Amino acid sequence: MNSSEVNVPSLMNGLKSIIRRDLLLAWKRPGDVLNPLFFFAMVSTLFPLAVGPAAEQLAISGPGVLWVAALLAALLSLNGLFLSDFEDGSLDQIILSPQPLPLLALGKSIAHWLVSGLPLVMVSPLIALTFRMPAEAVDVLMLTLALGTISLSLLGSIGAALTVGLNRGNALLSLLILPLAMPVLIFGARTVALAASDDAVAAGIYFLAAYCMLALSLAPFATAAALKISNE
Amino acid sequence: MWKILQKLASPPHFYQLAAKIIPWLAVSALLLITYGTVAGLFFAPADYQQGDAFRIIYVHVPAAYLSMLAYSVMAISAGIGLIWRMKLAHAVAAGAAPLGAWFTFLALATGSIWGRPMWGTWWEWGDPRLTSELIMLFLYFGYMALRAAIDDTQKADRAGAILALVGAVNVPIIHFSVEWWSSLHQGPTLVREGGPAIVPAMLYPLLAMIFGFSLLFGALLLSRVRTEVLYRERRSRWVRNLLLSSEESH
Amino acid sequence: MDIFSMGEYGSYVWSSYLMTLIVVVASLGQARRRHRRIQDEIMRLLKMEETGE
Repeated sequence: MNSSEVNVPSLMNGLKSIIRRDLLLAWKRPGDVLNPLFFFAMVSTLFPLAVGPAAEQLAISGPGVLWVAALLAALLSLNGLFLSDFEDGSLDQIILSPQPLPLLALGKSIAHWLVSGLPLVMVSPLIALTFRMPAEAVDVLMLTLALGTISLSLLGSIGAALTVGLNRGNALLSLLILPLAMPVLIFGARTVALAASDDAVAAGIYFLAAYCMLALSLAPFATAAALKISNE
Repeated sequence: MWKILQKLASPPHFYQLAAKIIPWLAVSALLLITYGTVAGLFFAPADYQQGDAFRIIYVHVPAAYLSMLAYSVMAISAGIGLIWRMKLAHAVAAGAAPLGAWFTFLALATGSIWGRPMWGTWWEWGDPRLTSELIMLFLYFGYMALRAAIDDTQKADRAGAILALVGAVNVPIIHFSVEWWSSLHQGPTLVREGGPAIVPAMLYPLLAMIFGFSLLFGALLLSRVRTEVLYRERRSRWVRNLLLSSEESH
Repeated sequence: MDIFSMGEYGSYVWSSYLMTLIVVVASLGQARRRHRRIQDEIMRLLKMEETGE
């Protein structure tokens, strides 16, 4: 071989290939997609079961319940983000690859959202209906959940990277992510509640979008640093 | 100058030097806190709105201030340790965490006690400052839990540093929350345009308490960092000599 | 000067100050205990090595 140039794939290619890889893996393991969805649905139904089916109560608690359920489902799905890569050694390859690690971490988060967050957003109207949520609020619900689950996938990847390979990493992951996720939960749920009572929702949506942008720009770097540390 | 810093960063030197500094910090802290407590409780005039209940300010504000100071110390020293690979910096971060958690709890508790007669409630879930301070308590717990879960000290240091830095964004949120959102909590009294909005007779004990508690924090932090250093260097010669010689002298 | 009643707010004010004292003392005690535990552990390590040789 006499080529003096190494054929390094471009950044976009690197990003696309890691996303494609994770999507393929998820395709082979439908549980990755379905489990968090079922969990989301079931947790949502826990509240009416426990608190009673009174219509006004459902309508009032709906936004909060759906948001908490979405948050818990996201936490559940984050556990496995780097676990299989860690176990079969591909994490080493990812870290050593010529692409910048933050870019690949971003790719993992994007794939994670496509597999867990997006389906959740798509399914949420069905469950919102059972909570007698008015249609305008359902639109806001989907938007806030979309922004929120993106933030969670990004922030969650930091926690997943910090705890990969630890013994009881699952509970610890939740403990680490929840404080960072609380502002998302607060603004998400409150904004949907405001929409249900016909109030202004712009402020909440802007906040969620800003938080999302912040996570998008900073989380991949933190995740990359954490991966290098955890994988030693 | 650089030589002095390098000497300071060496664990045995730090260990000895800190032992000398701590008593000075503790004594001055005690003096300031005693003055602040006595003046605040008995000599400052009662507030026209809150009566004598406002005197809780003399413990609540120092606690809240320290809770944020501790997190800043933790995050900054963790960052220094991460970037410049200074073991001592990581030890400072590890020592600051439990202290910060204590003071955050104290801030929340004294704030809650103060809120009961003033706002009519022990807690207000909608309040941004209360919520962000509570979030900070959880961040402290998460940091300590992460460290505890990782056996290797170096790895724990560096993983913890990432977490501490990520959570650091919460500190300015706590401070500015009362300005950005509507809150039961009053706005800034001391650090604001136009100077402090409080009369001198009430202000001086407060400043004394803030400075006194900061010195106390320094003393407590240095002693915890000494313990950290002792643990991290437990296999080194200087620690053995130190402990053996102190054993013989007993 | 109503020292202990503090208007009607006595219980609130005094419990806050008491809480502060407790937290400082507890934090100090926790730190001291940890220091002593580590010292003991190191001494034990040293003794083990001595007898091991």
